[in-house]
Amino acid sequence: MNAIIEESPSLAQELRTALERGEDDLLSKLVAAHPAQDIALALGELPRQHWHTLFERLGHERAAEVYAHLPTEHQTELLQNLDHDQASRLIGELSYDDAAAVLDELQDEHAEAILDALPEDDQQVLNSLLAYPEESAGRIMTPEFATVQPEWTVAEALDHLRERSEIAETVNTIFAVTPKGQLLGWLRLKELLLSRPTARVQAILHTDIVSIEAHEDQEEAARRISHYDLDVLPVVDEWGAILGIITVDDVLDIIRDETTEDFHRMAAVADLPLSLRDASLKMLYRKRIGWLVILVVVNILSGTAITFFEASIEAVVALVFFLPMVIASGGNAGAQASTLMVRALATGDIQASDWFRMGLKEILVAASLGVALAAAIWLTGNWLGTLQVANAIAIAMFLVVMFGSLFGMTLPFLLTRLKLDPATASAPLITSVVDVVGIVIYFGVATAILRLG
Amino acid sequence: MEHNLEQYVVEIQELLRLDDRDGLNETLDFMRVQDIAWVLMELSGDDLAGVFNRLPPGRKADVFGYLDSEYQIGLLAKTPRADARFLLSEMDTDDLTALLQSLSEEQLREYLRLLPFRAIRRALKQLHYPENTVGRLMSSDVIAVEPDWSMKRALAFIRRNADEHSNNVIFVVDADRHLLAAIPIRHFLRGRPDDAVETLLPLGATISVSVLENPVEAARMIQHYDLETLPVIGEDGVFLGVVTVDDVVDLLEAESTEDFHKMGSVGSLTLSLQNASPLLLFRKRVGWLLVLVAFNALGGYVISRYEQAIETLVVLVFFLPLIIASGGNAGAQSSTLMVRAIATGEVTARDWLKLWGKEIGVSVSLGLTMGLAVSLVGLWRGGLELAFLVAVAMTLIVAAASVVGMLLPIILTRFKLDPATASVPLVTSLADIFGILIYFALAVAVFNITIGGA
Repeated sequence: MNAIIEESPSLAQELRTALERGEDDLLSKLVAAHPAQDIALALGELPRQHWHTLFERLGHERAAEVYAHLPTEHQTELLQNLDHDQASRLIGELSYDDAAAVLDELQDEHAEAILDALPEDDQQVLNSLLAYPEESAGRIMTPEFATVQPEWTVAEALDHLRERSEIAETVNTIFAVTPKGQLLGWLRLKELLLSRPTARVQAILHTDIVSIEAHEDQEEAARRISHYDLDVLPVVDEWGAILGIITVDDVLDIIRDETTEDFHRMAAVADLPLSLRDASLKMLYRKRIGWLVILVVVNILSGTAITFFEASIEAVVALVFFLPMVIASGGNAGAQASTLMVRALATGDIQASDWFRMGLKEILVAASLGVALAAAIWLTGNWLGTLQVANAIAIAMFLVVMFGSLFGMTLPFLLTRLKLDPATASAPLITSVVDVVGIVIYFGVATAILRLG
Repeated sequence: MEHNLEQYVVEIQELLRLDDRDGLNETLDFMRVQDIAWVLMELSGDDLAGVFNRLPPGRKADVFGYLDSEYQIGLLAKTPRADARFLLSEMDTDDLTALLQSLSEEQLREYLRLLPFRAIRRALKQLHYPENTVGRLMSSDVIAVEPDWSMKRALAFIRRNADEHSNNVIFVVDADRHLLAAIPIRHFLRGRPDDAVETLLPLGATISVSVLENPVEAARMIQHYDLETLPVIGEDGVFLGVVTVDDVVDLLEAESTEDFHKMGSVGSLTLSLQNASPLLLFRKRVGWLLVLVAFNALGGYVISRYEQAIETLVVLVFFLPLIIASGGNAGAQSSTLMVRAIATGEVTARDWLKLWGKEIGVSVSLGLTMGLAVSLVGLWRGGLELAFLVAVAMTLIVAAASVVGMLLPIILTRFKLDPATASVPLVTSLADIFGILIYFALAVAVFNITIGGA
């Protein structure tokens, strides 16, 4: 039987029916037959009053498994309805990186109370993880990993791993360390299995270590794991001693979240911590209004620019017909250019140092686009206006498209140089700035050519 | 550990210039294969082949697998047949399929001849699956054992068949090669030598994907279930191979890039921005720009109908860019939020009614705030009537554009089109037209302007 994600809505329906009718057998059967991830997904669609009953049905271990896959906002919501002992039991079943992520979202007193109820060594580990800055490699690592020593034989290493395999999150990749924990090399479990039992670990060790320091950005960790096709990335302190590991499944989530953040910034939406479905009306309003108001101010500048040319407008009203066409085209070309740059910078396709080469290419592209669009508007100009007007707006179109493209291309680079996120060069920001400059170019050119001055 | 790839490029170019062979070998020994591949693609054609030929045979094959297919094809053409045979036969099956499908018919026939018979059969079979299916992406280097084998026999079998390409999961199949379970290799470590493999079988169902499924769906499953490998099943239920998480990372990145470009109304770009020629970039951008000019011409036409209104009250033009741009910006926000939420799967088309209700609430509040802000400017520029006009127009236009921006991706999804076609420029241009219509219609009503002939 294949479990497919699309089935989960019907799972939610089934669970709901079972819960509402109190059919415990059916509920237990459903819960046993589906992966924890699907139950977690279905839970989000159930009414809140059923969450508790469902969790009680799951049993300790499974409850923790399902809990680990819930979105953070649901995790915190569930915890708030439990007393500290129950909450600690649930948190205690989670892997350390998941537990740290949940505790981080809770109010300080609440988190502390839960921490206090945990066993001493769990407390220590979690406190050390929470001490790393947010979105750092240290925050998302798990300190449960398997190490071996280089002078051991393969048989000794395997025996050791057999004992550790219950605790360690993954033993597919094993690290060899000095007694002080300094990383010496790595090897794959299957290489150990394939080697002669009497061989020394040293002899089969790979020494091309890729690691990351605990204080570095999680995005960098994701980049290294995907670039080097790693299963596991070791996290080290500044002296090269291993502190924990980040596994490849964490990376997919990091990449998804970082991409979403970029998408939203490109549309001038502030970082949304919740999923769109769960975000409240107020939250959405707050995340959107900021940039919109800033852009209104920029747009008022457009209006002001127009007032300088009121005389020209009164002389040739037809000029107003073509105004949106010209400034919108400049904005569109600029949005294209900035989108291309922002994404290429994010994937590492281009670096900040490439700006000159990209600039030259953009000039060529923008000039060709400008010619094509000028031709299009010249035809429209002849249709709605006169030949002279058509000439004027075609020239304006070319210049505005050139400006828009180059501005859209340059701004992401400039922001990178200033150590800001290039995705701040959002399409609405580009469009609004191009509007202001576009209006000045447009009426400037028109006034000069039609001699309206 | 230095990760600055650009420095590697400079260093290797310098070593090549000095013809320092020992230095070059030493540097290469130190680098990971992925980095070598990256650096090679930055070098000129001759240097590329020169450095590549210097690698020890084992690394050659690994590096080759990480090159983009255009570079692979270029290298193969310069490599003696015996070496080409070695490179091709050492490739992972999924990488080989990727290379073969980018060859021309003629090249394909030529290179297939270099492969061992079994590999040819396997390659042809994979190329037989339609494009954009899991079949093209999967790797068939898998190890499968049977449930009645003892742990000892299974481990011996794994030892014999595992190589560096095989993954960390061992598959259990019945006599008809139907998949029973996917078991991490470490579980074999824990089992007692005389127990049957059967004792390791987990209770729940095994998650798998059909060979004809879209790769994006496979990527989503791997992400959702936190898998390292996803088994692939044929239409007849036979276990065929696996899709691995590292393939998926690349796939998801490519998918997001395509969405990004579409949101910026750029046609889908198969090359990296680095390598794309100006002509290609022009072609990918000009199409939508021309379509949007047509939209904007419609906006211009609407304005021309209100010529008289403008002549009567030039101050109306002052607020025109402000109001229509604000509508466009709000619309861009809501379409982007929707497109991304649909792409990550957190929102499905069925949610539209709930989201629509919320969007109306959000957009009316946004519109009121912005309307209030511009009405102050209106008061200063033209008095109470104008302030009233711009406030109402702003609220209506922001709300209308937001709702359009939110509904458009959903409607596109319903018609089985890509929601990301609801790009920021498209939504902005639509908002322009609506904006102009609403603005002037309101202006005519508020100021009692008579429009001659219309």
